[in-house]
Amino acid sequence: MKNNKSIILLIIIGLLLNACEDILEINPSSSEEVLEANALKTESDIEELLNSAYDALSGIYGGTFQRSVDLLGDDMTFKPGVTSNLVNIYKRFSTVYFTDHDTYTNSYVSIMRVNTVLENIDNISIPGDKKKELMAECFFIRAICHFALVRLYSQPYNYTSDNLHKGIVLKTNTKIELLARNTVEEVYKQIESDLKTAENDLPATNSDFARATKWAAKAFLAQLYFQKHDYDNAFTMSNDVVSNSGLQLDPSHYQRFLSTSDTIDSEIYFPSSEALFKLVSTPGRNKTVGGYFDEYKADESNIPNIRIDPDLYYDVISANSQDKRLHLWYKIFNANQDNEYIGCTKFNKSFKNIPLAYITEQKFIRAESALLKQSVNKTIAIEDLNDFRERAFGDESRNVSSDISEENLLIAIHKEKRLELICEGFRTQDLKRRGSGGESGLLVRGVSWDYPGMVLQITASEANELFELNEEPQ
Amino acid sequence: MNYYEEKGDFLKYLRKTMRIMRLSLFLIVISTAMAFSANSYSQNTKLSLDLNKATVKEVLKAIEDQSEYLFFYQKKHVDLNRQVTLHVTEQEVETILNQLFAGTDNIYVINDRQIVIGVAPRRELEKQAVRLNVNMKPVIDQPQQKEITGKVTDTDRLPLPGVSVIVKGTTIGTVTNADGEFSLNIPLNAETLQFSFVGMKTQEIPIEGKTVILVILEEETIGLEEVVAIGYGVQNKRDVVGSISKVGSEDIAGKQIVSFEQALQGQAAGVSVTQGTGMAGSGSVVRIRGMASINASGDPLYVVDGIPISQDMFGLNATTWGMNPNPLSSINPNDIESIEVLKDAAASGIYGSRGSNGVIIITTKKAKGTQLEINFSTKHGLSTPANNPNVVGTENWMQMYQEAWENDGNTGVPQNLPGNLTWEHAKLNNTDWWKEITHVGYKQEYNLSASFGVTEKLKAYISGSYNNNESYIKRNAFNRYNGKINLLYNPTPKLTLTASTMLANTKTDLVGDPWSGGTGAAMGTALPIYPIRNEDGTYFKGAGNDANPVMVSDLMDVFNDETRTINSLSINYVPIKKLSFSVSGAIDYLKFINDGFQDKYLRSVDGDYIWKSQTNIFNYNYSAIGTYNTSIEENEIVFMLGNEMQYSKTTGERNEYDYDPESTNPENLIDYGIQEWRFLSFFGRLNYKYKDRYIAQVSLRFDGSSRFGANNKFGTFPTFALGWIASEEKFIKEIISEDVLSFLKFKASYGYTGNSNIPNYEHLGTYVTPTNNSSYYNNMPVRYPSRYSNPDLKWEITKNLDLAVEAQFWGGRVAAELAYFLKRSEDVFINVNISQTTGFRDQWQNIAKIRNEGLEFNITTRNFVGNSLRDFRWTTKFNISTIDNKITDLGGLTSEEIGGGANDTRILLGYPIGTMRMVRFSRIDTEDGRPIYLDREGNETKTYIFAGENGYAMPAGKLIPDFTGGITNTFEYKGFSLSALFIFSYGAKLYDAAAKRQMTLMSNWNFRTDGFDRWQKPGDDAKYPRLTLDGNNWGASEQWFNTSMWIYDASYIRLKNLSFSYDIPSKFLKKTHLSSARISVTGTNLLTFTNFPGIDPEVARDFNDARDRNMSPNATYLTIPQEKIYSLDLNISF
Repeated sequence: MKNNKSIILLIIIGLLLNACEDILEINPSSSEEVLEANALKTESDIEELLNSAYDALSGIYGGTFQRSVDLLGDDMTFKPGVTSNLVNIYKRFSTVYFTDHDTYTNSYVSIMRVNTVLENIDNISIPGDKKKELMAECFFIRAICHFALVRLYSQPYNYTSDNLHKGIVLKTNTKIELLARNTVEEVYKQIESDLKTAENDLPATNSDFARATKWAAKAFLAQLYFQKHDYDNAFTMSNDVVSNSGLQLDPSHYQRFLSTSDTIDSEIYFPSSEALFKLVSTPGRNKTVGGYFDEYKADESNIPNIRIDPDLYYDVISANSQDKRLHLWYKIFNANQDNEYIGCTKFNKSFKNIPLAYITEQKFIRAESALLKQSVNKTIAIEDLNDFRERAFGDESRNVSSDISEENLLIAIHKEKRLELICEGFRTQDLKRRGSGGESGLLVRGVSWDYPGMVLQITASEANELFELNEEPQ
Repeated sequence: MNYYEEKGDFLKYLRKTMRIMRLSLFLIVISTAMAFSANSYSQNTKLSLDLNKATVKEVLKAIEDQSEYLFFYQKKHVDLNRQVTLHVTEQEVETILNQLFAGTDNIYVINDRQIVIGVAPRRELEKQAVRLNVNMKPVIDQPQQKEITGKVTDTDRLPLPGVSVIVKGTTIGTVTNADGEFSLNIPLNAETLQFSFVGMKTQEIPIEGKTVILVILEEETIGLEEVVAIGYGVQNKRDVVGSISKVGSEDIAGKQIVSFEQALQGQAAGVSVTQGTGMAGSGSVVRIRGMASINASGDPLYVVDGIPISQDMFGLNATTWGMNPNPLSSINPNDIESIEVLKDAAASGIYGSRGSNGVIIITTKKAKGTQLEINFSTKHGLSTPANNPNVVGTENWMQMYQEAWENDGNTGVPQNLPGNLTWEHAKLNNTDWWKEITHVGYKQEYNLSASFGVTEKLKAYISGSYNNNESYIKRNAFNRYNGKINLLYNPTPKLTLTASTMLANTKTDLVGDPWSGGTGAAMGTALPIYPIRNEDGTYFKGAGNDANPVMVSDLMDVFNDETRTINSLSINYVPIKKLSFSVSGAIDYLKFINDGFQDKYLRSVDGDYIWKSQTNIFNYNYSAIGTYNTSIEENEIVFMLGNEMQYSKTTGERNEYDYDPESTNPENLIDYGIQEWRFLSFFGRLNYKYKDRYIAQVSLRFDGSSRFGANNKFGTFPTFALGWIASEEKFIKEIISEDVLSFLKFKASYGYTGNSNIPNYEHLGTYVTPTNNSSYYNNMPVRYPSRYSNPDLKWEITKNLDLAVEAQFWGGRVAAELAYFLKRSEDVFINVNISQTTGFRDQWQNIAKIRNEGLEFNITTRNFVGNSLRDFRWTTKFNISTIDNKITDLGGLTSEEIGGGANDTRILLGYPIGTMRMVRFSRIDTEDGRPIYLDREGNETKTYIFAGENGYAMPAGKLIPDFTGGITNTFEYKGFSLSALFIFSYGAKLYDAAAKRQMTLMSNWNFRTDGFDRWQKPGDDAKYPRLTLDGNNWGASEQWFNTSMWIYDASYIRLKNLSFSYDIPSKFLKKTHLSSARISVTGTNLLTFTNFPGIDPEVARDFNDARDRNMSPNATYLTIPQEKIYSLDLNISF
């Protein structure tokens, strides 16, 4: 009996311990990690989450999206001998392994964060107007992320007449699930709807345009309409922004990417004041955005991988030595030697702001839309073009006169936009838009605008029975 | 007659008794063999007794009075005052003794007229009626005699009583007395004396006119009486139904090893040990019965004296620096008594959710007795590479660069040489970088240990050791200080307290990562055309830091410093004989520091750089075990019930800063955070044996872990096993004589084991709230989801089937075991790349299924046994195991969703883990020298397309060998011993990721001589393509693409260990107070037979990721070769 008692005792001890399943609940004790259940309790938690979505945008629009787009186009060359996924993009042969993984991944990270805000915001007490505003910011972020994705990983709008060709996955909730790709039509619809809501509910100013505003939403709507050949709406939106936002063209090109004031030859340059929405660096916190632009960085310490096409430089960019942009944005290295290259110095600063929608860019949309919309407005197109030229040359010497033909005016606007917005991710989109709009004989560095390699392949892990990858060039 | 107790010298006889106890088990096996011998004394002698309430002592005396029998026993083992009543008529002595000792612990051995009474060492033997009859007739006095005297001892020089001494070919003989002495009158013409004793090898000694003969008898071990650790208990090997391999201290001591797991190499079937690189202190990759994990660690569970210890190298926050860091190396192999490897469910199932990868049980040395025993050993060795890299010198390199230059359509002298050298300048240098970074390393090791009794009740084992182990790489060495104390205290016979403590410090001086200016640069990016130093004496940096390993070695100082202490206290209480309780607690603490200094010359900024990373792992363990054993008639039952809890906490931080000797250096602390986990377990095991031959075992474990999701907090792991000792059956004995088949056992087991080697917290949904300044965006703090919850997360489960047969022939001259196993692993963890549209990257999920199937065979043959220690003896041990590994289910996931290992090793449905998936290379076009690949359909093509639906990447080789094993031959003669261990591996492929850079594509890498076999002109039938400077010429847009051109056969046979030793005879030792002395010379990795053209086919590449260790351990990339070591060892005992 004594033995049995001992065994029973052991069993009882065991059962007692069994009851304490609590001791098997160990949560991360890091001060920088919290359980999901405790993560979103207050308004400031929600704001922090939303802020992290803005933060993630620098993984998309902080250089990856722009450089991928530009590499597909006709402005760049690539440093010989380098092996990286960028080479594949440049060769227009991106594969599931060698593609732009960052833009793809980070877009959905940002989208997930805003969707999390949208799904949780009702559980937290926030004043109605404020809540509406925060939600509008979420729609804005979601829209511009989907917009980056669809431009990079799908053939452009009008590639098919009904736009039922493969778009990207629209993600409007936080469910963990496999999804098929939406059509380009669906994607554009969703982006428009998100931006419309944002336009409605966002304030006119917000955090000095580091966060979304009504004007930012309008600016992106202008980009969206422009891209889908809806020039009437593109004109209306961009005209609204240019006319009513209260922002003006910066006096100097040098201001565009500054995050703090800078002095050159005792002249002080302030950060751009024409940005409608921008990603910001905070030097005081050692926080930088736009690090992905380092591939362009051309100074004594860094030999850039991505360079300006020499033909473009000599034939177009440097055609007029009076162009202020020439000395501001370009530098020739190893001049007259075999290994000469032309670097783009736009992004040389460590701490920079990246404007994603700004008056210059909106004026280009307005100018071109003015010529392409139903009722042509040549005057405003000329006005916008001359504004750029006056800024670039410092006087009216290069202005176009009102008797310029519409056709030549359009060509002039195209060329001016190429010079003005070089390395900022617009050129290739414009070529695709023009190609899909029916412009004949258009070649992008030797291939057609709809060449399969002009669309980036999607990262390997996405392939599944629902998800169809892009066609790869043979 | 001689009663031991009359001598009254307890200690003197304790050891004898112990030996008798051990021998008694042996007797079980061989006794039946002798049972058929006719005409034995016992069968012919019938006794009659009629005693009422007589004491045992009286009974024994009555038997002695009636016969020629003599009884030997120790008083404490036999209850002489027990009263019995015996009524027998004309019975053999066994019948009487069986009645007399029924229900007691006593067993007996009949050696002709001598009957030794002892105690069964284990309960199972209680009922054994053991007897042995030596075929010998009564001694008859003969005329013309002379007297011969002598003494018989065992190998420990302890007297052996009861040894039969007979004149060969006659019936003349006697037995030794309690002091092992004998005196015998023999005929003058007698030539040989024969000495025999149960469990000892019979010896024949020529008389040759001698009158005094000293004989040492050696135990005839066949292993069945061996006690084997089975996890929360021990068992006799004979009764074990699980699959367990044991390696004893003697197999560890003779090797030049730093860490104990190396001793398992080639020793145990199904246990694959791949030693790390030749770097000092490098860890091994140990896999038991294949690989059943993808993302989770496949390492076995290590249990030291009952404590599951911290051994996960990935928890150390250390970059590898060219080798796998090895937390196991803190343990001094010299302190280890035995290593048991538990392989199947019946064996490792008791460890539940941590048993799937097998369990390695380490038992450390304990005090043997109260007598003082001191052992000292020292080893001194020289280290050189097992093989040197075959990279070329300047002349060859430049010649081939020129050839590539011209092949590419250029003319004249090549321009743009690597390192910005001109062609003329390059010619001036010819640096042999490998020679510059290597030397002959010196290894020294000192071990001192003592076992003694402080008092009768308190015994101690104390040891200390120092190891300074240089490798052949300059500035690379492993140092270890280790001290250990084991105390055993018996205040009362029912209570045992054991306290054990170990303190060790290891320090490993490291060199840079192989691929960044470390050792590998000497085979890769450091070209012979580069000088070590510029003309002004500064180091040459023209080709970057990575291309000057001498500079990196001199200007960078990195070391790992590990301090470890393992402490345990256990109380064992035996209230009654059938019941015992054991409670123990342990603390295993490990502090791991990775410290480094980088000279400013290596940096682009002005200032040295210093870092220090520290990781602390506290590992607390508690267990309580109750064991109850009983026997009812022929049923024997052992029942064990236990509870265990383990808690581990890891903390750490890293400090790194630019060093400025003139100012206070800033602290830049990075907190590694806290990692905690806990296991809570309840377990039980029931062992049942019937008639000493039918065995059944059932075990069950419930494991709860903090790592499991809310829906699966506890796992249940049942096992069931059966055993049948067929050689006990009469009908078997009738078929095969027991002289031939001495032992035969069949075993079968089935059960569940688990693997829970996953990171902590993976089941929880969490947010990150970073606090460092640069995490702020737009001056606002951020927070974001980092993981979404998986409440279903649980252990991997392996369903194990094991069928085995064990047999021994000719009394143990041949012992063999054959096993078949089938491990079906389910819910295998995959860190799945989930659709990125979710905003998350991956999650640990229980998804895959893996099947491991194999055969294991091991055999030990004693080819020559001789008659004495000094005769020629030859023993062979051989083991081989096959493994068939296959992924049987991936839950519909594609290879891409799972992700690849290093160098395109992949997880592919229907293929083994770590299948190399590459574009297959067909041949070289003899016309233009370009490579020809195979497309998916197997058609030849010059286009290289890797991935995607149109890609040509196909399974092209597996890294898991078809079979591996080892063979040890030991020859002994007159104290000399020669032992050779060959290990072999067949059927594995090795991906040489460096080869593609070292051969045929000329770049800033050095070239290998085996790449000379290249295409040079039309018509050449070459192994490798034409030289080129541009990979585009080979059909791909990337330079460094993977093709099967670089997959090689990695089969090899290697002379792992060759040892020649000499035991100095005792007659030389007498004056020195030494009880034994052995001197030996050992060689490690002396010979390798392989077709692998690279440096070393035995590769365990360093990886920072458990998955890579599972999938690509032998995708080599500048992995430095193993060491070839010559060492001289001395081992003395007092």
